[in-house]
Amino acid sequence: MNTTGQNEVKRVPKQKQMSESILRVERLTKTYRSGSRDLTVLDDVSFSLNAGETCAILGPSGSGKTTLLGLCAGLDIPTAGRVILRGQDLNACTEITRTALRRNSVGFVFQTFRLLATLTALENVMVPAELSGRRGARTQARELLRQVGLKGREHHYPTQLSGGEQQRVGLARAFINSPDILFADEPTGNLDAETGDRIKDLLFELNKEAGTALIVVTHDLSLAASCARALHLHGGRITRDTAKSAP
Amino acid sequence: MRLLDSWIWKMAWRESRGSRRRLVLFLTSMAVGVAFLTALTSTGDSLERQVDKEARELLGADLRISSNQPFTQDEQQEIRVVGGDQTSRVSFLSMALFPEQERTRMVMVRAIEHGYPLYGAVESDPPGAAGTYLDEPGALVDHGLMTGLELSVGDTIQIGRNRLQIAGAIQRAPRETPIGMIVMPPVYIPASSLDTTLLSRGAMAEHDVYIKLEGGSFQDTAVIKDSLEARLDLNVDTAEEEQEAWREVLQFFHRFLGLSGFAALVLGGLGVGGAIRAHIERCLTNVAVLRCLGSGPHRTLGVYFAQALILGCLAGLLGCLAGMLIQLGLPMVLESIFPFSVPFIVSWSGIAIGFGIGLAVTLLFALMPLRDVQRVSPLRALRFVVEPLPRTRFRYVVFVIITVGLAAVAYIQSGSWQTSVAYTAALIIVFGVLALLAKGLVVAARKLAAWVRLYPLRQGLANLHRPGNQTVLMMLALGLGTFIVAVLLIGEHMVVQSISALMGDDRPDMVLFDIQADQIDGVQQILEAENLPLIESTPMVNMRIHARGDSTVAVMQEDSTRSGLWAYTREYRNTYRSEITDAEEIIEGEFTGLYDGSDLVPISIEEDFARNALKVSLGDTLVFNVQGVLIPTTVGSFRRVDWQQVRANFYVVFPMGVLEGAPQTYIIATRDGATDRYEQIQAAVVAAFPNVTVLSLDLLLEVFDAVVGRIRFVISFMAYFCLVAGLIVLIAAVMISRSGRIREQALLKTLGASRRQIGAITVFEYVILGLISSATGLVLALGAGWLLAKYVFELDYVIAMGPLIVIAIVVVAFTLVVGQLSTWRQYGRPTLAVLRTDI
Repeated sequence: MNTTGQNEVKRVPKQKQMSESILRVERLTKTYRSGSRDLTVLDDVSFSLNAGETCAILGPSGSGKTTLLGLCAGLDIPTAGRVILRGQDLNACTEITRTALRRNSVGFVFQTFRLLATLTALENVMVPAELSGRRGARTQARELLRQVGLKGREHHYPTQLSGGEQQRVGLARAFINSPDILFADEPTGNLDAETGDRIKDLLFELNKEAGTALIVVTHDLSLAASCARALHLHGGRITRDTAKSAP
Repeated sequence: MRLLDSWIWKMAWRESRGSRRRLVLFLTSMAVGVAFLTALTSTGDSLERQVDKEARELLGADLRISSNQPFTQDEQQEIRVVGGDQTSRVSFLSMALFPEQERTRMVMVRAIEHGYPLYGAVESDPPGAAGTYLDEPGALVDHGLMTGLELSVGDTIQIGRNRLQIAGAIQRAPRETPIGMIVMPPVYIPASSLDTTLLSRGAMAEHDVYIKLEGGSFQDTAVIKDSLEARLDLNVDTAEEEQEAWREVLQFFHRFLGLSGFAALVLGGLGVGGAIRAHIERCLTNVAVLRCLGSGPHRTLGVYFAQALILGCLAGLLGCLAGMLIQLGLPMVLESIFPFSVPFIVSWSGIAIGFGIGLAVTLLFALMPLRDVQRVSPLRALRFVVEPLPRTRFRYVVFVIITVGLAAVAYIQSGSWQTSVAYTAALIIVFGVLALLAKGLVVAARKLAAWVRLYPLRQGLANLHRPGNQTVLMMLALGLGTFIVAVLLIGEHMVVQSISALMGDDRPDMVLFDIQADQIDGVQQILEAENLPLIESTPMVNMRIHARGDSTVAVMQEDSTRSGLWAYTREYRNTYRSEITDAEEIIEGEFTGLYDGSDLVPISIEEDFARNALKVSLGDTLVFNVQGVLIPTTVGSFRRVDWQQVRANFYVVFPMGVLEGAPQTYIIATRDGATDRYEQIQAAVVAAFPNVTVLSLDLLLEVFDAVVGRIRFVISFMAYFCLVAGLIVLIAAVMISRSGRIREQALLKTLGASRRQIGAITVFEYVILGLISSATGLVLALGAGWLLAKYVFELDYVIAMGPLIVIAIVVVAFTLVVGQLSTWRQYGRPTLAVLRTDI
């Protein structure tokens, strides 16, 4: 990543204190109705995350990783417990407030990239900034694409990009609003090892630069190892919290 | 939802990339319905303006006074007092003989006085003939008859005993409708050249006086009409009434044609709804991503609502433009029915209504898929496997909203809630039954698939259930088109068959009427010479009803609260006989064949006429005025009459022993069989007795064919509109599911399927689809045909299997062609490219 060139990103990182709690999860439980019985996917999960902190969520398939990510990001409502994101209890928020919170404070990176197929790379990156009504979205998006090494590919559509390139567009999109917290769902899961490594580096560089808290759901142990903390989920419960520093 | 948010419009535009071609195709199906309705509304406006403008030309006068008897001295005096310009016309059916061609034909003779018509003009070919035929003198002959009998200007026409030269052809004239001219071709002759023996007592003639008032307004003519009708037992028509009558006819046509436009519109609506649904289903993950990125549910909905709005506007615009083009063609259809020209006008109200309806119907049918946008959870973006959105009760709410919306659209079109409710109900029933049948047949096909061993056939059957395959939509589109065309064919076939069936036994197929008593022997001799049997000789006596019980018709007429007196004021042509015929059946009371001299004469009345027109019961008294002699009668029996038989049938039958001494004419019924001597017999009879009119079943069939030809043209126009809309929806539906089909083919190819096997699967899939769709339409059409036979035509249900099989073959072939073209050359594409590309 070019961090020294003249076209350095002109984003102003939000002032964040490392001790400030960005995300607090308290006794979170999520139960789904499956036929005639209840299926508990998450069971009494609690943890918290400070600004700029990085955390991996690990666990086998069906352990509740994606459900936890969705609940933390305010994409779903828990059956019990609460999620406090940037000081706001998501349960108590309306959908409009949750949406505004996502728009201004949250970034997403998806395993399958989830780029809008009908938008060019540049337009995809611009979307969150445009949604926030920010001026200069185009310039900022161009700059981010340059940072992730896609200069000259701005007007390509997702189908014209390789998997790695699509994920780089995804990263640029995730960082354009300088989020307080970034949720990444298996960001390297659909990529080969080499490309995955490059995306991992890019993710952490951007994260460090923007001072963003990061939650990564992954099976990739090397990616998890790059995080300061790892939560191990099994059967919907946190079985191990290998924090390198206390929350 | 803030539609002023520029991001919504920007995103709507970007988001539609890749789907625009597909959406535009569906938009075309919507535009077909809009175009038809726009054209219909604009043409309706044009016709109404024309009727308003030409009200007096349509009647040919401000007032028309008519009677089926020559006017009495008193009546003539009263009519003269009205003043203004006056002229007269006498019309009656008669045989016309064309000596050069050795042909005869029954025509509507109109004996014209100078000055007729007082408004408008008779258009003739050559143009000058209409201005000179009264003086020269000559005859103007219907242009259709001229062509049919290969007559030329200068040829001779004989009516009665008088011969005239043909001065020209009648192209158009006041009070002559194109259909009427086919049924009874008019011949205009100067009144001075009329053979008055043709109007001997008993002949059916209409005597008209036409009046043009100086500066006469509709109010003036209405006052004169009331005054005349109060004093005289005559019919008085005004230009205003003529205008109203034509408006009603126009309204009927507008509603009739509007129904087809409405059906095309609903089909288009279903198409657009299907397209938006497919588009949104494709975009649901995008919706989830947008929600993750911070777009609220309303803002996200706004993106797709904006797309539907643009689509609706484009459908409205395209429909309006196409509607104006159709409007150029509609006069061709309508001028074969209406007696006036249909000028092209740009009706802004028609365009506004068309545009509004296009937009409204698009949004109505987009409601359900748009609702799904709001229901998408952002969590969907994180999931690999996403279950379809669960069904909610909202779909019933949407159904109600669409139904009410369609009724409102129909109301805008028809201006009547009754019509709009009938339209909507009819369409819901047709679409509902079609959808149910389609779903039932698809389920049956699925079950059948389990028993099929041949893999391509099994796969073809299974493909009907491919997710997003739009199977039911395709079936609706094809089924509706099949249904309409099949119903038309079944109906027409049934009527033709029922007429033809009359020729199949020993029933009469030729009727000679207006025979005077002293001509009977002569006519019989001609028939005997031709070896034709005299099946029936029926006397006919003219009379009127004088009173019902103690109340005279004159008193009844003074009662302004009474309506529907036409059955009491009309002229009757009744018969007398000793027994009923095989076309009759006594259903109540007792038929009296011979009058025994008691106080009241027992008569028999046709049941429907007795109950609904005369409103009499058994035992009621009616006093008939038989040319000055009052005959008190009692209703002795009710008869059911088979009116379809070619013979003399009557509302009222007297017993023997009452009317024998009254002036009378005779009707003779005979049977020619299949010997095709109609022209020859007709010529022989007319040459000897010019006042006798000969009517044959052959001629009836010929006229029926010509009339049906005209009406078929209009109905076909309507049917083909629905068919075109259906075909466009079919093509678009095939295009929607094209990507799934191509991916499936690529997958099969990867698994080792040969080009032949893949081709066979496609052929089976579309043949099955075409078969089930046509079966759906045909089953419904057969049901509708049965209803038509039983309740509308009251005929035996005869099914024309041949044409129905042809329809099924055409539908299957078309479906197959569309299906094959949609995946044409896809087999040659590299599999990986297909599997990786989002087509």
